Amino acid sequence: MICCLVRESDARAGLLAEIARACSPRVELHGDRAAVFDASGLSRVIGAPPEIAREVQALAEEQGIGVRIALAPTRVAAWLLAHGRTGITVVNQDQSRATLAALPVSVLACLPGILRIRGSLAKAAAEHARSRAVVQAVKNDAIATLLRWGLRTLGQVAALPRADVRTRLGDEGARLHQAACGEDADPLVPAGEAAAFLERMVLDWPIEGLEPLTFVLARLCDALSVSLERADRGAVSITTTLQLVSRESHQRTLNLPAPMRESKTLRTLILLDLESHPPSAGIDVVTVAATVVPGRIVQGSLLDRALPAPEQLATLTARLRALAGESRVGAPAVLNSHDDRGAGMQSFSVTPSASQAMPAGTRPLNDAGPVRDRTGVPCAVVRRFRLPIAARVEVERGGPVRVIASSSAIPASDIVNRAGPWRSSGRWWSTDGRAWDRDEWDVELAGGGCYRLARDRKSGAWEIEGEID
Amino acid sequence: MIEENDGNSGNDGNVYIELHTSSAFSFLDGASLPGTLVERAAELGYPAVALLDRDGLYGAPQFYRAAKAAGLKAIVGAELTIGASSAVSSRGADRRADWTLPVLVESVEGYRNLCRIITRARLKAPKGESYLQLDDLIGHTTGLIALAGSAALDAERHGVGGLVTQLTKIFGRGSVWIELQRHFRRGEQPVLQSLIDLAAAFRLPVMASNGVRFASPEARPLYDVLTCIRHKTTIEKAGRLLTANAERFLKPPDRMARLFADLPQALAGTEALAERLEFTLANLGYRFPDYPVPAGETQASFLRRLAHVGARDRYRPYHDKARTQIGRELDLIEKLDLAGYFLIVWDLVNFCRQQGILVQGRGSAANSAVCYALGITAVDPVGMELLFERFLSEERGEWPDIDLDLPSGDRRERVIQYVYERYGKLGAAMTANVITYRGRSAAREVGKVLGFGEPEIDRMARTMSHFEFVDPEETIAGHLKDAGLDPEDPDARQFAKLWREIQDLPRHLGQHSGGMVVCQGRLDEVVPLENASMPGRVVVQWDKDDCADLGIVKVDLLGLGMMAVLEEAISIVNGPDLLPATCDLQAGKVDLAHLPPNDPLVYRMLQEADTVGVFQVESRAQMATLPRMKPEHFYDLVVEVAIIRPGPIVGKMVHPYLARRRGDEAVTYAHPLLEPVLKRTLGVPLFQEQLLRMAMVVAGFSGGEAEELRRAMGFKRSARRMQQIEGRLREGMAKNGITGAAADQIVLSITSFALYGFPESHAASFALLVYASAYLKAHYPAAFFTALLNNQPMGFYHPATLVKDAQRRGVRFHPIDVQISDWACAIEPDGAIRLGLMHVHGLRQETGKAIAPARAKAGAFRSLDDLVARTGLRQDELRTLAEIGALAPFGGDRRTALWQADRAGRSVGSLLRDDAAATHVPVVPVVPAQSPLPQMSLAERISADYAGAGLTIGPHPMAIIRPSLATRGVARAIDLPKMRAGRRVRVAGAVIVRQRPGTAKGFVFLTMEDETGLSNAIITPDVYAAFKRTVVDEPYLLIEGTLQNQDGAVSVKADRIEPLKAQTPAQPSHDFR
Repeated sequence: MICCLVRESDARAGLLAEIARACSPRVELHGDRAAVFDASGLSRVIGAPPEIAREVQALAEEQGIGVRIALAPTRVAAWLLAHGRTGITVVNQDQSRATLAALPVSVLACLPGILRIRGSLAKAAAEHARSRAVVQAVKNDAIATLLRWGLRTLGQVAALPRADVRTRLGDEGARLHQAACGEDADPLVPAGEAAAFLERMVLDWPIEGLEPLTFVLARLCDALSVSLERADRGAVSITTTLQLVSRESHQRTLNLPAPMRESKTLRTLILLDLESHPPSAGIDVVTVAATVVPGRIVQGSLLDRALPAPEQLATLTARLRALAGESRVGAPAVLNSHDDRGAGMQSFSVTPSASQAMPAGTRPLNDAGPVRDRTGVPCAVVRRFRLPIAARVEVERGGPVRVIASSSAIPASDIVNRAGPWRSSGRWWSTDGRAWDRDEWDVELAGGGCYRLARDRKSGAWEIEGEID
Repeated sequence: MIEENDGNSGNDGNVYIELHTSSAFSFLDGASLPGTLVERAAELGYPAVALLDRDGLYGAPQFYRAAKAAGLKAIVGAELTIGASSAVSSRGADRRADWTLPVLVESVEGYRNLCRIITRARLKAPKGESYLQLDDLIGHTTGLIALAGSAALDAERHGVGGLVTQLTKIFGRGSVWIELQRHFRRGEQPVLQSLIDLAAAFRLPVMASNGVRFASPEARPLYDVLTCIRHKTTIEKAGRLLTANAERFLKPPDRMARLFADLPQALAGTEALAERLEFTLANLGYRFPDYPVPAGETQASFLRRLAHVGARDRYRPYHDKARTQIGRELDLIEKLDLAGYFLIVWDLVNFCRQQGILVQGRGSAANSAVCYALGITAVDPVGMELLFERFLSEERGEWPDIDLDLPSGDRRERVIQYVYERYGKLGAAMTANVITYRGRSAAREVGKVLGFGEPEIDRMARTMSHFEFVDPEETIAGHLKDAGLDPEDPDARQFAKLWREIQDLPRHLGQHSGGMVVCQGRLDEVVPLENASMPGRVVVQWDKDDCADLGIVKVDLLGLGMMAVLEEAISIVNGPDLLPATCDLQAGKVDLAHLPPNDPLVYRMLQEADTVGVFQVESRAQMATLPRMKPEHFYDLVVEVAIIRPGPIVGKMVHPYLARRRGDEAVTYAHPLLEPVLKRTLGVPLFQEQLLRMAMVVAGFSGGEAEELRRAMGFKRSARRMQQIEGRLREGMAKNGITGAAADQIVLSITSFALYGFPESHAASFALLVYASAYLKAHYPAAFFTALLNNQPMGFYHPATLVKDAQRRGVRFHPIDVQISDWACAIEPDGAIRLGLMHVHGLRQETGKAIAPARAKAGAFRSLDDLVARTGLRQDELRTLAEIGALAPFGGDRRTALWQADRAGRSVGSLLRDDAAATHVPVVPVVPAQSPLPQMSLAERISADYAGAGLTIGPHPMAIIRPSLATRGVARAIDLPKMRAGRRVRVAGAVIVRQRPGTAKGFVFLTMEDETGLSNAIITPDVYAAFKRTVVDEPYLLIEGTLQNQDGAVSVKADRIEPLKAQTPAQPSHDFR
């Protein structure tokens, strides 16, 4: 007998698989929505098929999820019955065909891997496609053809000669016909249990602070590293879960820049992250789980300079993040905006081409020539102040003539030379106050120094934005 | 550069003229309409302003009109997009490397050159694009001034100063100016300096401009939105594609003066250049083509001869009244030098006659006895006392407007191609139709740009304009609420503001349905031409109003579905084999020009509002009026056509007229002088001509002045002009002693009516078609409905309704049958209509049209396989044919046919292919075995008919559920007229028309169909509000309410509306939103 479970209520990922695996080692999984398992041997342990079904239902109830259960002699019959009927359905060889015959044709849309029906259409077809619109929508599908043929139940489909159906609908139609007859076209293919790269340690006594955690993490990461090594896998993300004495769970997930499995690196990265995001109470249980991909194969080059190993780079950036803050580490990026004050941040990565190409506006340290813009025209470099300095500016005939900065670093001074205004505005659609409308002036002060002044056209406020080299 | 004040100052003695503005007619590269730019320029005190739209003169007429009204000089120019390389074709070229060359028109010669250049660029490229190389300008630049701006510095393509060298070679040293712009952009100063240096080096004058893209800075957000639409991106992703600031607006001259204070020569340059640019659109040099006349004749004398000959044929006898009128008209035509125009239209009408194409002049041309005599129109204006001045008057100084109605489709296209053949591709063109942003398209585009999700955009687009009527409650906030958005949300408000601003802005250029302009010589020297999307069509860049305003004569060749129906129906009736079973007249005797007048059967049918399919009087409102009007004579039809129009409805003329007609109300006149004018319409003004005559009679207006009055009160009425006209009207009336209440009443009736009134001549032309179509329906229903079904889509009703109406009149139908049906419907020897394959949904026209010839060539199809082999039908087409029963001759029921079709449509491969058809080996027809599929039920068959053909000749879906409805006390449509008015009734049916007219104050009108006929329901605004979704979405309704019967016009005033949840197939409906 084959049993099919279909989830009816929300449940956490993998729960249905756990229930199925609790019943049988031969389990075929279909996402988180359905699972099929071989219930052949259970009669000796549990009893007759109805009892098996009740037992599975009890198991599901224990886990708090609602399921539809069908036990049938074939995989496809169990599947269709579980999808087409609510509650528990148990049929034997003799009853199988008759019970299937009453199901609506649209239930065929739920067959996995048999039909190339898109999600929404499958749903529409499943809702007893009566309206013309739905039929039109799925007109290219074999199920729609069955509906056009006036067939409403699987029994009517099964009554057609299979050869004729194959002539008209091809292999897809024949497989639908087989399904309507409750005949398996494919055997149950048990899914091997995915190896879990997870290490867990329950502590005898709660630990406080990160220092004692170092030793715990070292043990867990060593074990994890060994299992990754054995499976030739690399971790692309690490999830650390700390069960706290306060009965809360403190979970952190680190996305790694490259698949890695070196114990020391993993431990350092986890610790650096926890330094920035420490748990709020003592720790009872520590779990480290890895999401894995096949191991990394790196081919070095004789011609290119060796790049830093991803492990080194990840450790370095993690250390920098711990020091500077999460959002303050990365590579600067020019924003696609007329507002040249802003700069974006993108994640820092090193690629051979990036290491050799010189970004526009930068120059090698030993190059004494002027900085040039993208078109090769020499341009001035502005060193922007981290926070613009507020200033009072005296204006004559529309232009600034004297600057009195709020900072003593820039003494009040007359302007001897000026260029501007350069006007820019944008983000007028923004409702979060990010719209701007401003004039900029480049000025040379009598007291020395060239600065960039800016005036907000709305408020009229002036500020010194930076110093011009 | 010194910062200018932001204050809205004007012209403080500074001379600056903006010579580079682009309007919204640059299509997504400008955010203000030409009129707005002119209005702003006038406010700022500009003496002149130039419009340079991208690769076109689309906005020039509007610009010229507005400037003329504002007292500004409107300078013409364009921005020409020049391709990067002559070696690369436009399609393969990198469009990013294209650059624009602004050019200004100095003289008429320059204008002609510009038109030719743009035409050349446009005709070489696909619709909407333009392709021009700098070399293309050589030899065509006389009278044009080129502005060399920052593009001239592009050293990569042309070398340092290379472009300036080229431009001076092409345009001449005196016709190239260096254009300087300042937009407060970092980096523009070096460019400016380089341009100044170039100007000095080449000794070229400089001029300042602001490269205006919008009238005021407030329009910048809209410009950014249009930019996003142009680049197909969202506002968040557009980044540097957006404008850097809002400086490209029309600045006050003193601000420009301060901006260019360091370059006074650039400011002075604008004035000097503007002075040179003498050309305006006042003189286009357009001339209507001369008509070739026989030797010894002038156009006028030839026309006079033709008119008198024609009149003798029309008027039997040619009485003095007609002779005098025709003489008077001919004198005026000769005086205005319009004889050529009449001869050319006459030539077109002659061509139609020779080709057997039905043609009839409509509109104000029907006021002309000369047009009647020449056979252009079919209504006798002398007999009907129509006002000639409505058509032509000396005062107006305009070309007359003659519209010709032609059968829509191929026949009209034949006439259009004749015009092209006769006047050449560059001598004739269609007028354009500027497609503007409206409610839905605006909501969709703005929503996309602002980054709203697809479902929200869909909802907004749907809710933005639902029906024609705009409820004051349905404000923008209401629309947003309907779309599930919070009207208080800033994003939603932003959307609403931009949605409102983008309304009416041009989106792209379309083609007018029938307006053609022709020219003596080259039309491309008068207005730029470009390709239309239809192959073989060329359009001018102006719409018909612009053409008319600039004195370009247009002839409207309008496709009228009913003309095609009449033509086809008459040819069927006069055909050799047809013996109409429903008619006691002899076949072959129907002539449209000589239909029996006052046919009692026709008038009885009209009085009973049995008018489904009849021209003009088949709408719900017309059907509701006919029983109250009870037409008895032809003139009643003229009134009937004109009375259900917004003018009479808004002016509250309908009820008084009907009441006076019934004798319930006395016929009175606001003043005795008006009696002769309004006598025919019982003292109620119904036609535009009456309005004109009223003004002439009571206020002493001349014919031309009266027409001026009508125009002043027309669509684009301005309060100032209205006031002036009203003043003159009252003054004139006072001279005749009409003052006080009588004067007020006359003014009120004129002003309230002028907006949407119908000309009597036009109504009379249409009434002829009403009578003809009603006559055919009454006497030759099979031929009439065959022609109607063959000329869909047209009219008010879907073919499904037409078929049911025909069946109720006793017309029999045969189903679509691949062994018998042609592409079009046809009458069979037994008098029944055989439905044509054209009604099969999804059947490709070329395949469907090949079926009948295939049968004719090699006999009937022997099997489905044979059918597929000989016609190339696809499987989906075969399935549809099977489902609607068109494969019945191959044996079995529809499902059996479907069962066979699913097999027949599949390729069997070369080994098993039956080559019998190819080798002509006789094959015994294969009788298919009964399929294992269940037969279709009646309901399924009807459903399949609607789905596959859009109509059924089987029972009406309502007939199937009638027994259950009868138990619920639901009345049939046929029973309603027999019931007592005021009683509560229930009625149900398929909704075939939903209407919410703008003049009905929010009332919704539904027409429902059941197996016995049509029923009408009226839904008040509050009931509509309560059942809105049901009314809009449900295909079948059950309505409960009070029965109303106004002189035979029966309707149900709805209280409760519920969907009919029976399993009925969705029937198509016409929704007028």
